[in-house]
Amino acid sequence: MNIFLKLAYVFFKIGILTVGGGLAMIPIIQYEMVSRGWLDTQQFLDILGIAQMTPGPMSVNTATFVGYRVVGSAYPHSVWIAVAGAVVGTLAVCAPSLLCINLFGAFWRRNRNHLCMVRVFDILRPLVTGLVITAAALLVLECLWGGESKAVLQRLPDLPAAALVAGAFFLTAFTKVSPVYVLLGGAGVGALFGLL
Amino acid sequence: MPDKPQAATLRQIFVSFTKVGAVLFGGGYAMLPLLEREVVNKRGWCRLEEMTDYYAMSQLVPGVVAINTAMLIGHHLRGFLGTVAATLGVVFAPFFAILAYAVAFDQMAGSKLLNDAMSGLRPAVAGLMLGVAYTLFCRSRKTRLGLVVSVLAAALVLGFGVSAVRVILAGVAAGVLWYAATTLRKKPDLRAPARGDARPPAPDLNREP
Repeated sequence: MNIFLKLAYVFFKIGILTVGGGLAMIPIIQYEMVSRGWLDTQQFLDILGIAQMTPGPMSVNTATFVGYRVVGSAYPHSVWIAVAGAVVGTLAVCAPSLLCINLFGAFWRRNRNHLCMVRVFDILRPLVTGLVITAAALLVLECLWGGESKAVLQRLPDLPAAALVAGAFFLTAFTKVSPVYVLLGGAGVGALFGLL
Repeated sequence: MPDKPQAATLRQIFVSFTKVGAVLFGGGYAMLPLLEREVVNKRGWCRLEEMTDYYAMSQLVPGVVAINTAMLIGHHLRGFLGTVAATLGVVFAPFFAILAYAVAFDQMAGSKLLNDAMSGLRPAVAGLMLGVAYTLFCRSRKTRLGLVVSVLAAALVLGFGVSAVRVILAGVAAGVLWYAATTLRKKPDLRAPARGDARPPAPDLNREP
């Protein structure tokens, strides 16, 4: 399939499957990107971090970045074709909203409190929690044991990374420090230790 | 009068949402105060309650929450073209920020400082996600349904390698089945309150002059 079409299809799918916030999308994006070889898990972590530190929704940021990279590696001779890839990715992830709101906006508004809708979201909300737990577990595994689940029982994690994970977890779960500062702090510590 | 928004040109919509998008850090929740300042206080395009309604609704419509919220307000102001202007506005600044990062990334791929910073950033992202997961789980486990569904979803994806897409679709199906099961059992009393929310509550009607 044409690379632009494939890109549009994947990000349209990601957009339409998102319910109740971008966090639920992380496992889906991760699966789609990694299984297609568009990003590896390390690059995925990088883009998550960058997406949090630059303005804009995480999924839109990922779509822009991946669009640029994927098309850029298919057409290495031209930056502008890669930029077109970024445009396609960005628009594709927004397209489901455009369709849903223009076609069903009025219907949705009228039936927002319909019991069927309420039930579906009673299920989806905790389900999203489960997906976020999954995503977090996979990311921690990647950082501390290089993504090998067997290694967890066999050897100690990468200790400096474990300290950073623990610190970021504590700040996020038990304080109101903005995620931007948590991530900037992590990057700062990394750069500092590199200098030493 | 309150239902009729003040005349908004497409350009104003685009400019306003560009401003919101440029300072939109940290996902959907961060959007509310920004919208309140720009759309409610400065432009007077809708009332605060309307805006929070749109925000709540945008969580139920498939798609990115921030984009949905912008589109609903754009739709309220100018219909289809309003949704387009609002969306382009919200993604405008983030698009160029990420593009700059993507271009710089290729240039600086070998830089030691960047690699060191990234090696600190990755565990911070993982810890951040773990913190968010913990906060969400504390909320979900308050009900037995929430506890069961969240643990089950995590177990299916982590333990059995089921794709997250299938888990979400199964969740939607389960919600519809649950609704069907409860309404088929006791028809008369469940439907009335479910639909009734759109109407104003009874005491308010009596206060009409």
